[in-house]
Amino acid sequence: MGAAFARLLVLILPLLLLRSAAQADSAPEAHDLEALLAAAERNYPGLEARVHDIDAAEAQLDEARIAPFLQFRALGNFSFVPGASGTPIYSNDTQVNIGGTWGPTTGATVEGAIPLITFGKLRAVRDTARIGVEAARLERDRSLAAVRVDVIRAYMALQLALDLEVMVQEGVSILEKAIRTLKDREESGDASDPMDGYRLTAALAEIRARASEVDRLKSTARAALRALTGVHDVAIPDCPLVAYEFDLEDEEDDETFELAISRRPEATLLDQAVHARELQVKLHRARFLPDFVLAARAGAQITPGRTNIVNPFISDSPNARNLVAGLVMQWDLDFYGTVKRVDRARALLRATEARRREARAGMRLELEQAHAQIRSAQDRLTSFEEGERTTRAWTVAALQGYQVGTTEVRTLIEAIKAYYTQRGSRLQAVHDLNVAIAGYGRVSGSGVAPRGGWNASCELDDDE
Amino acid sequence: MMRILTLTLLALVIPALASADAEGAQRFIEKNHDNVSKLLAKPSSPPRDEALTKALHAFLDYDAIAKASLGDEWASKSEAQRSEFTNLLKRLVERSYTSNMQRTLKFKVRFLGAEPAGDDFVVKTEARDTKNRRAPPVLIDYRVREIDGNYRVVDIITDGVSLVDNYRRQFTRTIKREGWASLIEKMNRRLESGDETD
Repeated sequence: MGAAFARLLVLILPLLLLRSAAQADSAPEAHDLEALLAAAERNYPGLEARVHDIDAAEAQLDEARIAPFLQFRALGNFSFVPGASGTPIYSNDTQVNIGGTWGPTTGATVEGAIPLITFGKLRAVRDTARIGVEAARLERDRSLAAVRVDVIRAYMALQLALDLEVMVQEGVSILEKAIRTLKDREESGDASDPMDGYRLTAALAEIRARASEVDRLKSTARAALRALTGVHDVAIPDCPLVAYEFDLEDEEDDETFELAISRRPEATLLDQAVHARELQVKLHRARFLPDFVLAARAGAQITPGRTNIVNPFISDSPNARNLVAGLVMQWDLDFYGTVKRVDRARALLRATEARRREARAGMRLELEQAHAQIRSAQDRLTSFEEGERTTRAWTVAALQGYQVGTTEVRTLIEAIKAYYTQRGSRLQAVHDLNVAIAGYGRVSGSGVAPRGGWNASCELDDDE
Repeated sequence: MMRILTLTLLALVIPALASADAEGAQRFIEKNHDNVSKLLAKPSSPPRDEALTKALHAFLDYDAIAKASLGDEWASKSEAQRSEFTNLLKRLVERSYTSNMQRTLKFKVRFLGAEPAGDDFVVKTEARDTKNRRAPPVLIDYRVREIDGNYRVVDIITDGVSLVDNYRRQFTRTIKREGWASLIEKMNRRLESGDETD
């Protein structure tokens, strides 16, 4: 019996161990905010696309630098020519008629040009390409800043949902127990106030409705984090939502705004757009003037079946060799079209300048709004913290009074409801403040993090 | 010269003595908290309940709590009334304290130090739910008094709410509005209705 059990144990034990290992593996790894931000930077497809955009722009710049000087091409041909006959007039040997039979002919030509003077056209093209590279890099910075804010927003939403979930569970547990106790008292013949039952049931219904909202918030936040970071099972450290500490100036002045403008990739992008338009104007204006290029051409055609006429005054295309090099002028005489192209480029430049002014005004507005959002969230947080402390003290006092018989159940319910309302509002204000800090970092261009960084310490970790 | 030296020595020694007493008060709370927690962790039985009552009696000064809870009303009450009231309050406090301790058995309690408060000491503690780390901590301060070399708790301040001050306000209001008999009746009724707050 003992040996059989031992054999069975030997068989079962690995299965049990495997199962417990699988269970341990099934718990997703917790990612803190910095880890999720790093994951988003690595995995978000939008950012990867920006990197490829930079590669494309750099390739374009290389092309603009070198390609104008490598404009050479080669042409080759191979075909059959029909037979031909003629007199000996132009023949090398006056006793022999020139002519030929059906046969193959082949030839090759290499030709090209090196620009010498273009009156700024090439430089404009090169500078525009350089701006394209800078713009691609700025676009990546802009996308990165936006993605970081999105990750922080989703993380804070998940933190809020998890904290609210705990709060709702606490509330549901208290109210369900209170309802059970009240029913027991009624059944035992105790004359309790029936209104208390209604109050409790109504409070429970309300809190359950909040629970479904919390579930929705939690799943939405997880989905957003998954999409942004590429982390499939998003789990975050089990630490309560805390308000980040952040030093904020009293108000946004011109100096702060100019600093923000100098740091925001969007602002630099707009400057680059204006510069690109200026270059377009220059390019079109330069088209009033000709280009001077060094052109060269070398070629040979061989037709073995035809007589090769060696005579400098005869063009013998079936058997020919040529080498030409020289200065070439190329001038587009479509002046009317050029005038209109310059007009269009100037108009587009003015439009871009106007859009830059519009965008700068919008950026100032964004900065002031972000400042106001932080200030408002800080003020709300201070008020709700006070409200939570007061209602918690009220709940403790009501509970103590209830325990010695001097407080009615309705007062206790009222205190508990007020406490949970204030606690929920305080959590919402903490969330709003943290998101506002992240938003301010983006619109001020500083990417500011709160004091101590985004990974707020988990107090319990210090204890354990 | 000798007097100056004595005063200087006293000045140096008194803070050290106060600190030693504060440490003693904290040790008293730690020891009794641990003792009560261990008893509550055992399954309920008559011997355990008896030991618990004894432990709580050594921990909480019911007479001082009862006297302070009645405030000015205490002086106007007869010995019998005081005794009846103290007995009722003792049973209610014992029940609610036991219930609260039972609920927070799984909590991690941190002792945050003690400091003098008048003739007493206040020992600060913070209790956190280890299973539910997102729940806010509960701050519980014990006001400890040393009488004849023994420490006893004379007030419990939960999240800033003094048990004694709260009781005094509520008892005084009930006595003024409804009379002494009504207060005693309410306390009796609560005692009979069983604990509904755990």
